[in-house]
Amino acid sequence: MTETAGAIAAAVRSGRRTALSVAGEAIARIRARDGAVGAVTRLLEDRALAEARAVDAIVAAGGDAGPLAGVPYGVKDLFDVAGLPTTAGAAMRRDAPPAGADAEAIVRMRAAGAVLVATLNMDEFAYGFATVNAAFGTTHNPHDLDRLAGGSSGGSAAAVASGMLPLALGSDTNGSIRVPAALCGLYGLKPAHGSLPMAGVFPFVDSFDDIGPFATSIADLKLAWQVLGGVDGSAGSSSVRVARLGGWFEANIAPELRAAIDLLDAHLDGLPCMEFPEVDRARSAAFLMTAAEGGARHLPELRRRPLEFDPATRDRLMAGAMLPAAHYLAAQAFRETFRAAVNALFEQYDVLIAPCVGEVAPRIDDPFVTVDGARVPARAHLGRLTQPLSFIGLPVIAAPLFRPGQLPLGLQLVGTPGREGALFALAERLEAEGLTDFSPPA
Amino acid sequence: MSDPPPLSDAAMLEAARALLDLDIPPECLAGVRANLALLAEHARLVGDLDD
Repeated sequence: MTETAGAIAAAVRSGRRTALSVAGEAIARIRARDGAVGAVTRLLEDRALAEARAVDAIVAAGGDAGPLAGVPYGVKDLFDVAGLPTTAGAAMRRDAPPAGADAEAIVRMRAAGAVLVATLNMDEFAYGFATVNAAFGTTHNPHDLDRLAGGSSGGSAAAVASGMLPLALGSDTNGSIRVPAALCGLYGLKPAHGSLPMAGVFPFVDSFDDIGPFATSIADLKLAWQVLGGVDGSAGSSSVRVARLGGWFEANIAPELRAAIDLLDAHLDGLPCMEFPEVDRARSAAFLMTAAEGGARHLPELRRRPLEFDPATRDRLMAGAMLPAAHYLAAQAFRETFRAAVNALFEQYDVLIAPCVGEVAPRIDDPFVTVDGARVPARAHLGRLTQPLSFIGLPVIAAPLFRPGQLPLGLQLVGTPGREGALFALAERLEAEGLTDFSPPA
Repeated sequence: MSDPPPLSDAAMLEAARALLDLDIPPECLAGVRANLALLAEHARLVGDLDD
């Protein structure tokens, strides 16, 4: 049984356990398990033990060590960690000047008593849905080591799903929290765009970048979100108006996933089925803006040392840098049209339910997914259901369907900025009623 | 929007150099070409500013 962050914090705050012992156990689990998983890029043992001792000192003095007292966690390798280069998953940044300070998210986690234990693997510069990295290796899915963990925050997801850590932070631009959460069977949060602190996070696409947590329970996810700065405009679960997203979102999904959503639909007494207009256009517009902004950001290094990039990202970034501005502007203009149409739907509903990834995790040696009957590369297409939602900055909880003993499948609970309380209320209800939950790897 | 003619390697290299001061290494040409074709597909779907 995976121990939750909430349980650890309660034990540490009450003095039943020390943060030092909890950190030591997490470090031991990483040493024992990560060789097979490949989630951890740097084990921060000295820092973790120092932070744990500081938490224990507060408890010993009778103080309040915070809501995450003694909870070990890791961060995707694009958060600044004071004294270390922020690699963003790139070999060329191994020798970058060390960060002068922690990212704001880490500052807030530390203030809440959490203990930073590790940095975690990702696709280079967060451009991919696979966590297959030429410099730092492939992260394996803890549920089946021959399968992808998803990406680009694959190390964060795998570290939590394997039980090495109860919490991790990642980032999501087009689905980089939600995709690995779905494939690894976890809860993940992509917050409303701009609602959580991005200071000290290596950027990819400013228009869509956000950070968020991974957890094994909705309570832990909410706790981490609140610590990071999330504000709950609470709504009771009985008042949450829910619909199901059809059309594009159910057009290319595995039969077992469709059956699970049908079951959930029936459990909720039959949900109205809604469609977003022109989702294919929205996905394409997100694709263009991502390529253009990512290409522009990395153009100086593409000029200077192109062959030091991971080949999997290099050619995409070069092509993105060459995209004519007219296409970028057209994509940006369409975003406002799409946002207005979606906002109109949220006048009727608080939460929309959609699948997160259309099928179980692809095999590492056969990294393809099926779309419209064609096999297409997983690295670029695993996010086809997530991309149109982050495109307009919606808050989304990725929630794992409860499928013990089977490969994970996940849902997206899609909300609207300022009404995150409804999202969490529905997620809490689905977990309490046994429809969603984390199942540890067999 | 009608399909644009395919870009030759020489034209692609020249455009990158002239507009972006970017030299595309030979080993990247095929990948950049494929990705430009993909972006062109997405751009056609999004449409132009007059839509």
